[in-house]
Amino acid sequence: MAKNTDPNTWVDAYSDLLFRYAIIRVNDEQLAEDLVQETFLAGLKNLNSFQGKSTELTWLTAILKRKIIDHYRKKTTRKEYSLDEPDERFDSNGGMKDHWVKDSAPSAWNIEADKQLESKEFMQFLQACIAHLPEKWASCFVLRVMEEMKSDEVCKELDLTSSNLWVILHRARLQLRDCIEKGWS
Amino acid sequence: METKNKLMITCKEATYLVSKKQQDKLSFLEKMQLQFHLMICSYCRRFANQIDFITKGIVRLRSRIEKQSTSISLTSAQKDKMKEALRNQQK
Repeated sequence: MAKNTDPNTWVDAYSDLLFRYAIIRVNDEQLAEDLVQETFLAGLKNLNSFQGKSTELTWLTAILKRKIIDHYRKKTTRKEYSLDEPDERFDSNGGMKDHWVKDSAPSAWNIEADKQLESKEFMQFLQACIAHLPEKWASCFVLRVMEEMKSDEVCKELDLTSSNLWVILHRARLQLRDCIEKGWS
Repeated sequence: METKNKLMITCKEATYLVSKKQQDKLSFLEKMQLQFHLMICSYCRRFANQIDFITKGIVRLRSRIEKQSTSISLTSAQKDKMKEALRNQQK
């Protein structure tokens, strides 16, 4: 029996904190609730692994983080992406091969950058653009960019090569930029 | 044999390097390639500025979400459900 921890106190002490941790990362209330519940049950099952070296909260948070990564791992594409694949934004042949197609080329944004970053509406719009990324790219984007996990850690967790990760993140950025250009600028 | 100037890259490659630069260090050659390309391509210069802007926006969004989340909590019904599940598991 592990020392110094009583599972019956966990919910009152930690459920809100864990719920916040989860909801920031999965952006889905029901899923966040389920993950917290699973975390408590997994903690109970693995009481022996709680050594009392870390605090209960740190220990439970580590379990929750694992669950979040597993959630994203299931959603990640196994397809190898390469920069060589055609992208309609760029010319596919001729002397200007791989240069911007005129209609897709970035236009000048009619926005004042600093002011936008202060704007609540813009933040909500940006959040919506991120939420609309295809699921198969979103997991990489969330873990690397939002969660600030190290690239090699993301690759390891999601079974991706680093070049594949870069191409996926790049596609996500291209799409985010398109989203803002179409909907905001 | 193709003797391609190593410094000359396409817009497609340049945008990839702009993207990669947001988080990873570029190699010396990549840095030179990107700098050189941005000097001569106004579209990609625009692209680079816009991506920098988006990255800044994301940093701000993240701290905003974190701040907001401090007011989020589970309802007591949700907590009771969790307590019950824990109790059942211990039986």
